[in-house]
Amino acid sequence: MPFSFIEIEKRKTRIVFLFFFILLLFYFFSAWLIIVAVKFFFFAFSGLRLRSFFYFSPKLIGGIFVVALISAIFHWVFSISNVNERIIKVLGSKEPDKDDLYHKRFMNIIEEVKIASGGLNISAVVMPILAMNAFSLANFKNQGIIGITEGLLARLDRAEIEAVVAHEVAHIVSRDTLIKTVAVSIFGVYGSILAKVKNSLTETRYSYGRGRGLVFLVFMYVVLSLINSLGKIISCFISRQCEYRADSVAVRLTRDPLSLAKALYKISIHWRGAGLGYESLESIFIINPAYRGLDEKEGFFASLFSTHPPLLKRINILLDMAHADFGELTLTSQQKKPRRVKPPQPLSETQLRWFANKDGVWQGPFSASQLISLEWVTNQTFLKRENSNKICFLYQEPSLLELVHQKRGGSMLCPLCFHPLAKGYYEGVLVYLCNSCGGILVKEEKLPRILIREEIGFSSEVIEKAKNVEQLSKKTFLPQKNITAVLLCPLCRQKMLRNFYTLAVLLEVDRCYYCKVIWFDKDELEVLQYFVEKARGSIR
Amino acid sequence: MFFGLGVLALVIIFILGVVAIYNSLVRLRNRVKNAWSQIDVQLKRRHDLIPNLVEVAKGYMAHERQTLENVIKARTQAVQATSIKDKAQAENFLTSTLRSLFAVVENYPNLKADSQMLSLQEELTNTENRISFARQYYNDEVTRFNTKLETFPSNLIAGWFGFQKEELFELEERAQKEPPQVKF
Repeated sequence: MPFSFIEIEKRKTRIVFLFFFILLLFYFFSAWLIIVAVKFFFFAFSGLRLRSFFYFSPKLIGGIFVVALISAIFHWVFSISNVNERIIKVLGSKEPDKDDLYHKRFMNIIEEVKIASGGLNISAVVMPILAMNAFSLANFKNQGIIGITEGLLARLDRAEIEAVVAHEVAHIVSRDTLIKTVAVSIFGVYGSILAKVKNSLTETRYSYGRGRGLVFLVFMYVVLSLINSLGKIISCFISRQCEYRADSVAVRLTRDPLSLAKALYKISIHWRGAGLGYESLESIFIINPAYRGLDEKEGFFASLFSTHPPLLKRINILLDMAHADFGELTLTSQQKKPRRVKPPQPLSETQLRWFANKDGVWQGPFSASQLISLEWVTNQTFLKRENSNKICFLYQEPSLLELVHQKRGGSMLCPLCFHPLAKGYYEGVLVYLCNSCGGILVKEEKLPRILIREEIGFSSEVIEKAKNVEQLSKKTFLPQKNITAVLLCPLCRQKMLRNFYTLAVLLEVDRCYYCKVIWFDKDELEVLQYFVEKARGSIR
Repeated sequence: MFFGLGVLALVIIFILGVVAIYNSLVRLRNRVKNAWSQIDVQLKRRHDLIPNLVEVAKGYMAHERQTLENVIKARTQAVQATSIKDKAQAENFLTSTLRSLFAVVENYPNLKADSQMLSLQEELTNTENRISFARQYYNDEVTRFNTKLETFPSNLIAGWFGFQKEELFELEERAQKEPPQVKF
């Protein structure tokens, strides 16, 4: 039977309104309890009978009901308006960076899956954390948002990300996402605020911030934990079945069950974000961020109280579709892709050298980057290759022309050799490279992305250097170094500060704290990456 | 009297049924058209990308003139094709020439590592996936429409109003019936 993505069973949205009545009941009984408490407080010793504490006149009940209705409506309207934006703020997600190749790929994948689903309104966000997870959100206008973490972008290949995105699109299409988003917005968001309040509570205990602030925090804590426990009950309404359904629709979209199985497996064996305070938002994620034994069980209670079905069962269903078995999956997932090791020097530099014609005299030979840094060379300069007699204009050589554009575009100069810096990509991140000395300028906010991605391998040279740095770090006293030159920041031309990137390994880098950039000399970035990956266990 | 009313009711029910079926047919046909326009957009995107690709590859592979020319030729054919069948055929040819081009690219490590080439490859993978997803969606819609056209009673009504069967956008080569992904 053909599956139409447009004629969706819209009656599901009715479940959402059930939430409103739960809210109403909650406020009604809360108000009731408060009045009982107040009565106790003021009339406990005035000889009233116990029964009269719980007796309410119809008028009072009506009053409580009106108050509860108003509070519920306020809570509801507040939760419904700008749901997506608010939850994204809580999750700390950002729009993808267009200059980043990994982010670009993610955006492309979203476009593709949108087409496969027949055109939905979906936008992409990226969560800047190293955990591996993905989530989807949707509001009443059916504007969907799909978010995935940096960790996922770095560790999954294209087909696997596609499968994950298709799974999330399936949720949006079947309107599961709407129910979950609303539930999370009404009850769950407070859970993650709760975690923060809890943190500041334990912190204030040891600091001097006592007094009224503390009372307020405790009050907040009580209120929030009430709403949060209500959220736990709501999770009963969120069926585990919709995860199975989303998996199967995702396979319908991408026709690639094996990739989805691989993606789920990879997510499951890595850190999914436990401890970041997202546990109360669990239902919007592809796999529960916290590990819970209940999730892996079946039976009445497990299916009532957990939001995600047993992972192993999900993977096995997908593997059945792909006619593959679990051993194969674990084997292929653990195999590491062969990494591309960066050549010691850009090959175009060593291969192609040019003679340039100045006032009728051939000068050179120059390498490409030397050539474009010469003052008198323009687009109309005649050029000749080293070992040929063919003469052409500079603009007829696309590779050179690109270098010239890069030079014009950014007038930044290398702090070491004053060569113009060229825009380039390092592990998919936009960086500024010096083609002459091999240094790299990286924005501080983008550096974590480089550190998590494992695209480029390490040459023996880098490993050698890393070992030297390691030796140095083991010494108790560092040999005193005389800093001969202080580097100037390529952006603001102010002095850069030279310090260790981290005290774990004594690798010196130059930073500009005004522009928030870091300058790495040749191979220093690779050495840093080497240490990070070694600490992570990616390399032995 | 009752008999007359009964006949009237039957006629009204009949007319309403015809209107409902006719409307659903029109709706389905429009959806097929929309799906086709999606494919068309994506094909155009691919045609626009190919000259850039060839331009980048040219700089590195002087000895593979034949492969590059084949790609250009296939692209021209694909741009000129008009009917769905011609288009499907031309696009299949284009896909196969692109495949051979990328097989050749494997032999040029410099070209493979070229940043422009890498981004072009990503763009092309993206477009290929878009095309295959759009095709998937189009074929689903066409199948729905055709099934409606052939089943009773809508086949009668389709016959009266002259609805025509739509063509599927099919792949001919067996090797291409793989999951929608392009590996370079």
